[in-house]
Amino acid sequence: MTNEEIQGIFFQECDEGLASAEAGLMACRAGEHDGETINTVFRAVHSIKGGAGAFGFAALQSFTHHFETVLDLLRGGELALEADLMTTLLRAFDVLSDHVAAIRGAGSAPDDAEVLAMLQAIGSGERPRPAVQAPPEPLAVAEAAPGVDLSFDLDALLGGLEAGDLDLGEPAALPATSPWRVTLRPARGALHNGGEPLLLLRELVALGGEMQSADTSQIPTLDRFEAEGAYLGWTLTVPGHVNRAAIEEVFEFVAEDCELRIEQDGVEPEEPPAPANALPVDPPPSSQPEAATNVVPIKSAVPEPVKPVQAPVAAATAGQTIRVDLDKLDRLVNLVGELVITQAMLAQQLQDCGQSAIQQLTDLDHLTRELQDSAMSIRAQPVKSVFSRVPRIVRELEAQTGKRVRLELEGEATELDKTVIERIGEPLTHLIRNSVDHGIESPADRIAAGKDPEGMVRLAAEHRSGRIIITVEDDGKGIDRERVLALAVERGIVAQDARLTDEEIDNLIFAPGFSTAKAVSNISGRGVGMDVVRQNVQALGGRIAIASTPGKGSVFTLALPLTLAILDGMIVSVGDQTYVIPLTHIIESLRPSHGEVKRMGPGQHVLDVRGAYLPVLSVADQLGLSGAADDPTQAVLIVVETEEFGQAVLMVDAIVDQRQVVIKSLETNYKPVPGCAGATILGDGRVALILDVETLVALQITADEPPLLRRA
Amino acid sequence: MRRINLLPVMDREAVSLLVPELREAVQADAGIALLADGVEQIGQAGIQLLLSAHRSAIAAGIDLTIAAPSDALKNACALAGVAASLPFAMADGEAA
Repeated sequence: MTNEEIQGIFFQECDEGLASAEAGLMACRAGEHDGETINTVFRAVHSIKGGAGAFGFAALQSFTHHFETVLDLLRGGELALEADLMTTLLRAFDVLSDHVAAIRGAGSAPDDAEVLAMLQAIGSGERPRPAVQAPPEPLAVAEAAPGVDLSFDLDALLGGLEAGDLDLGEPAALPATSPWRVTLRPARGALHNGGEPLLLLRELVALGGEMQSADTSQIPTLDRFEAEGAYLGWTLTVPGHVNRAAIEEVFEFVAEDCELRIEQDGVEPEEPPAPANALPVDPPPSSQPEAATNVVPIKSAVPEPVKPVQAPVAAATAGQTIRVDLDKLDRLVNLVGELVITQAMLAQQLQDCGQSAIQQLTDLDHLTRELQDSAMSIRAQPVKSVFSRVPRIVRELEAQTGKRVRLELEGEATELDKTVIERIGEPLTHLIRNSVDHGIESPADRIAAGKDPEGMVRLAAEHRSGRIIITVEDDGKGIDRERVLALAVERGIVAQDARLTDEEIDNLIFAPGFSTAKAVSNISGRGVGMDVVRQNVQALGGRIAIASTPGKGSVFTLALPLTLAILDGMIVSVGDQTYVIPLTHIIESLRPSHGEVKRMGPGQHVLDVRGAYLPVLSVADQLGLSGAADDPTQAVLIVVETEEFGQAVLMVDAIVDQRQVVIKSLETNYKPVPGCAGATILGDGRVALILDVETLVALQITADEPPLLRRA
Repeated sequence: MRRINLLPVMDREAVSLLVPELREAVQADAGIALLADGVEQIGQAGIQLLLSAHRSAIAAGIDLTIAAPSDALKNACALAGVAASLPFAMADGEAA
């Protein structure tokens, strides 16, 4: 495993740690915590610190050091979890998230000075807390390695450490326990993977470790010297107040490349049998003649000093999962898609030969579908990864607006295709901001309205009818329809005399450039947010709807496809061509009678659908096909729903089938084709284009006037 | 006295480059001065090379010194607990 791969694992574990820490902090904030909750947060931060040190992320390591110091005081009962401390912890968590994002290349390192100062102030005891034993002076690096020249500037080590990197902060309440004796020897091949054992030493020194001896006995002469060989071993002591887990964390990412012993005077061995590859330990110093040896391999089953809240579940999960490169996964999904197409072609050919009743063919069909479902499920991820961003957004909005918001999350375990997950984050962020900025009232206004001063925003996800439904609900003031309509008229979005339903007025907020904010804010008042939301959702093959009740709040509902790799479609014929219309757009299909179709001009018709007249759009005309039916009464009319233009009618020759099809990208395999969302391969081997209903309708309807103006 | 410049970044690659030159220098049976003022980064591989060269020089009965070691080199050797094991020759007026 390369260093980059190991680092990649660290990044993923950072994500997991952050999620765990945030869940714990949220529980603390809601007053639903216990000692284990705080322990969980502590361990998450501590784990990130360990990895940060191992990989040389000095700023992250320094910040987490001070963060965990406060958490350590909190879990030790030396600090009370008061409101202002809770606020500080949440702010520290946000900065920590930014630090992690920075080391992953997503932005620059955050300005953590203010929060760091707050953490240091708390950690150093400026805040009132029970009297504790006076902390010892910070361990000076110059005292760390007796017998060597100590005038060196260790901060300059390897040219990659920042000043203060070895700052131990202000250790709190240190019990008088025997020091740890840490003996380590990097494996002979430890340097092969780009590992740098000196960083481990630096980490131990940062914990207060002191070098006792360096074993140079295995250094060969030059004739037998290998540049990639590791020949050194060390023995250090680490102060007894340091948590054993903290020492083990130092070696977390080099478990396979290092032999390690951690022992402490006066502690009985937890695992008496020493591992076969353990180093023989030098006799303990004369001052520690009775030292009991506690020898463990890295990451062994040593009882954790703190049991995380969800440790059993996490442990079970960890043992049942593997990380797979996404490219490999995509290749698998693609191959399964090809298999589905091939199976369909085989079935078609056998049917043509009168062999469609073969049982094995039915079995193959079932197996293929199951395989496809399984492959797609591998790409599925819980929406929790998106939802987890929301608490921070809400916290920031609370701070900016002075509003009080209670966030409720539901259905975080609902799974969605990874690509959809990645692209839904921005729309959701807009919706959340919109709900808090425009929906939730100020505490004073809420009290005046007889409401709880704390508003509610609820984000929920559920699986419904083959789609994922995500709702963003608030109990705010709802949409001010009078104001929305007035603004829409003022801005020319609708005609002066337009008579719109409540639903249509609500949907005006999705119009480009529309904003009801009295003053443009940096939160959501740019007038582009909701338009972008709709575009992004549509680009995912999804739809968005809004329901609002004045004085009671609004609900935005996003209906998203489970995957972007397959879709349920209606196979239709137009002339001698075959097309696929996504079922998500189709409301109904019918063969009209003469009385239901009205002629509006040359080649222009409308369909009377229960009193509503909808424009009939010829797919053949739009795509330049000949030989197709041009009389609506002789064709099949398919009523479709579009986001921008409402309902319209597509005219095709006939309905051939309805089935699930594998989507092939035109952009990737050919080039973008206006009016077509992709292509698929049918059972007879022919390529069928998948119609982009939104674009097709938009292309047909002239854009001289705003859409709703035409509909008025 | 054979003078060999250590490289600014004494990583495994640099060590691989220097090993043949050092072997040749030891076999030449002349004193060796490793010029270390330009060392900016050094890890375990580099430190091991210095220890190995020192051990080889002793075995061959020749002198080997590490001249004008940079702070980065001294810091790394101190951290690794081997500073006292290496034959540093400090610049004039500098304490070892």
